[in-house]
Amino acid sequence: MMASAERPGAIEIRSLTKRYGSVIAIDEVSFSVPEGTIFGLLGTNGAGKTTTFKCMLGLARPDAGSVLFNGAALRPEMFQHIAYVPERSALYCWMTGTQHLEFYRRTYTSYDSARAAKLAELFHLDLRKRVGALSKGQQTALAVILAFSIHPKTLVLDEPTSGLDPVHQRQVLDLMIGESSNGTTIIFSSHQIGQVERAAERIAILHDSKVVLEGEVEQLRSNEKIIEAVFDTERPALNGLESDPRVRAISRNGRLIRVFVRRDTELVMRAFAEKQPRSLRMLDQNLEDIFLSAVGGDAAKEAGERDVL
Amino acid sequence: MYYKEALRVGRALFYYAIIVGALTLIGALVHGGQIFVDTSSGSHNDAAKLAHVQLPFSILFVVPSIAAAIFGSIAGISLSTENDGHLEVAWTRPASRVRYALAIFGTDIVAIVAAFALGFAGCWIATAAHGGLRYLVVDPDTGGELARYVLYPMAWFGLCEALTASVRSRGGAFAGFAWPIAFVLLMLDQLPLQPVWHAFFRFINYANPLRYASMTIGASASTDLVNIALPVALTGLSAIAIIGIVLALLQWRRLEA
Repeated sequence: MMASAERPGAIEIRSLTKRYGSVIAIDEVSFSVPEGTIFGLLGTNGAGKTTTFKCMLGLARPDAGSVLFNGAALRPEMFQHIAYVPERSALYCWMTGTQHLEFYRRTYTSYDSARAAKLAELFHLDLRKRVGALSKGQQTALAVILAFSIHPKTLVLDEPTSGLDPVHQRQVLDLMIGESSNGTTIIFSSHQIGQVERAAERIAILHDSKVVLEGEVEQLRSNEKIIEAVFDTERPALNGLESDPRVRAISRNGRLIRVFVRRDTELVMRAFAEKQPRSLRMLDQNLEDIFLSAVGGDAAKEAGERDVL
Repeated sequence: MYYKEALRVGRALFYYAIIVGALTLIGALVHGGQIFVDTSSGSHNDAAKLAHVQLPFSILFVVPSIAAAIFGSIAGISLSTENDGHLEVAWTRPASRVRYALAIFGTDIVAIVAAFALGFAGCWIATAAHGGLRYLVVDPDTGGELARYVLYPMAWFGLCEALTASVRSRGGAFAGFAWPIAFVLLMLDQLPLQPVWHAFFRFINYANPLRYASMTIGASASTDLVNIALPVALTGLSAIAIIGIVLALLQWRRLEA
C-alpha cells in the first residue's frame, strides 16, 4: 500500500491567508491532503480551522494563497462531488428532514436514497420533523446523513460529532473510515483528539492562525517522544536545552521536568542524563501530547502543566 | 435547484391565500351596497344616476397590487434570509452564486405574480358579490395599467433585495421600514421646500416605488400622490426592479460566509 505522503494531493492548500480587518484568521496555512486519506485538522478555539475550511470551499475569500482540488481551482460544478458539514447547522429550520433529502436528491446526481434511509435509521432520526424541532445533535446527524448520501469524492467535516452522543460519535467515525476505504478524501476538524487519533492518517495542527505541525500520525508518534526526569533540586538548570531545536517544549512541575522532543531523541536523552537526574525515562507521545507540545503554553497550562517554555 | 424555493414560496403563498380568502369572504358577506351602488336604500334619482356610472376596470388592480407589494417586500428579503446562517448550504451546491440567486429571484417573481392574481381574484369575487362588475369598463389604458400594477410589487421586491442582500439577520426590519420611509420621502417631495432640498427629494424619489403608484379616476378623484404618466411609471417601476436585482446580485457575489 502506498504511504499517504506519496499519494497525489487531492487537496493542496498553499500559503492561505485570511484577515478580518486587523485580525489575521489564518496566516500562510499550507498542507496537502492525499487522495483517499482522512486528514485531521486540530487546533485550539479560534486557531483558524473553520476559516481554513471556509477559504477552501470558497465561502470566504482568502487574501492570499490558493486551494487546488485534484490540481484544479474550485469551480461550482465540483460541488457535485464535494460535501461539507459545517460546525453550526446551516440547514433550513422550516424544512423537514424528508424535504432536505428531497432537496439533495434533486440537486446531486450521485444521491443514494437507500443509503440516506439507512443512515437515518442508524441515527434514529425522525425525518418527518422540521429541522427547527430537532436537537443540535440531531441536526448534526441530519447534516452528516446528507453529506454521506451523495457519495462524495471529497468530504469536509467541521466538528462532525458536535452534539452527538458517544454512540453516534463512534458511528460517524466508522462512516468516515468506511468512506475513506472507498477512496473518498476526508478532511475534518475535532476538539476530541481521541477521535482524530482513531480516524486520521495525517494531521495538521493550527495554532495562532499558523500550521505549527503537519505529518502522518504514525510518523509523528514515532518521532516525538517525552523525556521525563525527576531531579533532587527544584528548578534545575537546563543549560540551553530550552533553545535546542530538537526540543519542542519543556514543562516543569517542581522537580519533575518533561521535555517534548521532536527528533534525535537518543541524543537529547544522553544530554539530559549528564545533568544527573534522580530518575530518567523516555515515553511515547500520544496525539494529545503532540498536540499540547505543538500549541505550547496556553493549551498545556489548561491541561494542568506549568511553566511550559 | 427550484425545489427548496418552490417550497418556500409555496408556504408563503399558502398563508397569503388564507388571508386573501378571509378578506374576500368578509368583503363579499358584509352588506356592501355602499361599496358600489345600493339601489335598495337610495332614491329613484340616485339609482338612475348610478346606472350611468362607469369606472375603469383597472380599479380592480389597485388592492391586489398593494397586497402583492407587501408580499413582494417580504419575498424581497430572500437573499438576506440565506445570509442568515444558510450560506454553507447555499454556496456548496453545484451552481454558481449568481445562478443560485437567479433561481431564487425567478421563483419569487412567479410567486409575486401569483399573489397579484390571488388578490385580483378576491377583488373580482367581492365586487361581483355586490353586483359591481357591471360598472367597470375596459378602456385602452387597461393593459398598461395592468402592467403598472404588476410591476409595482416587482419594484418593491427589487428595492428590498437591494436594501437587504448583504444584511445578515435584520432583513425583515429593513424591508418593513422601507414602507414608512418611502411614504415620508414622497411627502417631503411634495412640501414647499427650498429648491435644493426639493431637487434632492425629487431625485431620491425616482427610486421610490410609491412615486409611480397612481390612479386617476374621472377628472377629480385620484388615488395618486404624484401624477405620473403611464409610460414614465412603467419605466420607473421596471428600472427600480431591475436595478434593485442587479445591486442585490452584486452584493451577493461579494458576500462571505
